[in-house]
Amino acid sequence: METRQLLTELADITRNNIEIANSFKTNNPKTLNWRQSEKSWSILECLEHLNRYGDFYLPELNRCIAKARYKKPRLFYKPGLLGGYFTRMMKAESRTKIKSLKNYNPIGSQLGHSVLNVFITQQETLLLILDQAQHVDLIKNKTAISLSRLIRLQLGDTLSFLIYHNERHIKQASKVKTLHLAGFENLSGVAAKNNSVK
Amino acid sequence: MTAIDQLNLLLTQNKLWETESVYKRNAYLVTEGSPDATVFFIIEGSVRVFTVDAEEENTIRFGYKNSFVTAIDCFFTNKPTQFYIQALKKCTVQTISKKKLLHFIESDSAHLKLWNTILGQLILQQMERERDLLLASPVDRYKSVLKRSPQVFQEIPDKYIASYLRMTAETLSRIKKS
Repeated sequence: METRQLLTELADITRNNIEIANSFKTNNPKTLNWRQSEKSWSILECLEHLNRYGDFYLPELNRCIAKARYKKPRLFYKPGLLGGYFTRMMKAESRTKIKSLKNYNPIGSQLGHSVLNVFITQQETLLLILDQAQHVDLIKNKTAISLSRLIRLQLGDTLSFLIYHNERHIKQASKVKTLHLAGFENLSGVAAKNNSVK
Repeated sequence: MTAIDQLNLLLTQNKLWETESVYKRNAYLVTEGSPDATVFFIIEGSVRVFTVDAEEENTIRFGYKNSFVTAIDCFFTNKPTQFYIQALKKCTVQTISKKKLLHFIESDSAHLKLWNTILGQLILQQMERERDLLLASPVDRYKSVLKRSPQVFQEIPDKYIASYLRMTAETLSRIKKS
């Protein structure tokens, strides 16, 4: 795939994530904190999970680009073995739940509206990062990952899996919103599809 | 991420695995007398490690998905092994030679640190096993392993668990029922 196409795709997904997060701003705290079952996440928990990953990855991505040893961008991008695997896992349609590490599992934490703002700010930072990424080699420059200091991934793969991970949980949050609002539909008689988030 | 997971991913990322093989149920990965210090990583399936003394088999350890197994005596002494490693169900494994593995470990101090962590974990596991074996009561031995490694009871057939716990199959069956 052409590098330009990859970066454009990732930016489009990020902009879409911002849009959906903005739409959550119109919901009341009850909706944002509603969970479908004991162990499943509320909308705010989904976003808090993403914020925690952002806390690690945004500085790492900035560091990687600022200190990039290989400054010649490539026309074509090819994912690495591990990075490609992580990205595919994030994109997968499957419902397999990957257990979250304790630090990154937000369940039960006290969450407010600020979670939305942090998320949106992080996405805006990510858009800037994607813009700067066009000027460096996305394969030869590597980043650390949150799970291990030893394993390093291609910059392009870190960007990919991070952004697809964001998309995955944003979709999850949207579903939660739809489910919650559908629960109220029976009372008001309004058709569910009018309220579902696209 | 566990040290073992990290080592596995690093070997994969650096394309160091030599072969990927499938072993049928009851097939042998290693047999007594083999001078081969190949290291296996189990992708799918489970294995047991045993010795044979006077025609009796002693199952001393199990290996599951996402773990390494090797003839540990041969690995550290370069002498022919006393152990058998047998597949308990169909297994998919990847292999790397001791030489290639150690070369990778020694190539970077971060790798050495990781290796030391893994060896430390191994020593602790052996210590726990030693303590288990010294427990006089079969019930206590059973309870200790149940607490320490519940997956043994989920993945391994009872007759091998009994040997591992150093009791007869009947005793194990009685203890499980109570």
